[in-house]
Amino acid sequence: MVEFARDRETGHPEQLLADLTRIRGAVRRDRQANAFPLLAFGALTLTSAPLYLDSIGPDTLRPQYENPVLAALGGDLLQNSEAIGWYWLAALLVGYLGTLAWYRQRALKVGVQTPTRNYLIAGIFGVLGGLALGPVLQFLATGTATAVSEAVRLVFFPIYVLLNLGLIPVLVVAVGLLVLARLERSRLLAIAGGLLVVSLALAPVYVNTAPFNDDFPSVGYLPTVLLPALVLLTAGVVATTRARRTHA
Amino acid sequence: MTVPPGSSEVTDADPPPHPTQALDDTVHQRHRLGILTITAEAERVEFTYLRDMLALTGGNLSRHLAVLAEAGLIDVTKGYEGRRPRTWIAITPAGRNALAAELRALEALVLRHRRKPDA
Repeated sequence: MVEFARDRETGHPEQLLADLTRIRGAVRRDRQANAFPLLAFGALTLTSAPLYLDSIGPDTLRPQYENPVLAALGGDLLQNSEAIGWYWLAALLVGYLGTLAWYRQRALKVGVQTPTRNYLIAGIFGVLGGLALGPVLQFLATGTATAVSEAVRLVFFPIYVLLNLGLIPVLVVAVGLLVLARLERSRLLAIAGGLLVVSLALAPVYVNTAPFNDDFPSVGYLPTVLLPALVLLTAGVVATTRARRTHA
Repeated sequence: MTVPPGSSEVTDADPPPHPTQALDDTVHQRHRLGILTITAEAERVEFTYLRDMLALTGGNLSRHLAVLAEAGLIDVTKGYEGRRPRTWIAITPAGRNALAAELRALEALVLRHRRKPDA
């Protein structure tokens, strides 16, 4: 920022505004550290993949389990729902806390700290919301007036599907990334978060179009988590490459 | 419309105030404007980061920080990370408002200059 520091009077306002815009961009580049959350959550999503292998078949034919409340993130219809729920409870905590620790470490190293309070709030509400989602939707869909129940079923149908497929945790990750994108003013994070939501929207399409009726695929629901993992890891590699190029 | 003598009421006939009247001397100084712009982009910024970014000497930066802190536009926190002393600077809500007002005034000046190059 030598140009900005040149010992001169304030000068032309247009030049000053241009200098301030440049300096603002430099600070944003310095405080961006988004490779870690992308790679960490990408790895955590990829590691969860074996839990989505399901050899039995259509979930509609399986009785609902009575899983512990803390394992609710996995829904209650997949073969490994309870394991998925426990895994993601731990993974979300590790991912969110790890990201916060990473940003703090990064701030000490670089000298400029990203405000991460809203990210922490998004993580807490995301995990608690994910845990409460099943019982709340169940109550709204069955324990209220018919009109309300029908409206809830209609409006929240996509969320129901994600809940049943054990994919709510990935939605929590996506929301966290979008919050982080806003805090960091990062286009890459916003795109990654958006693509993650799109990949989640494709999961029900896969489940409904795969030939589950006659021959349940041996990979089960695996593709529903592999695509989000691929999105996160690809974005993480791009972020790492960009960071290296910027600070080279 | 007649304005009584001594009245400060602004009438349609009065020219709008020149944008320079909205500039704040405390904020308008080039380096102090830089400090506020950088701190507005982060939760907090370390002293050495500001010093390097603005290519100032430590003493010079300290003087600018003292002016801004005295005006309530920034908070300065001194502490240690391990054995290493650290000074962190964070912008206050008043600082954000002052920066926003300054940028608005500068933009108004640019606009006025574009409309009337001789102004």
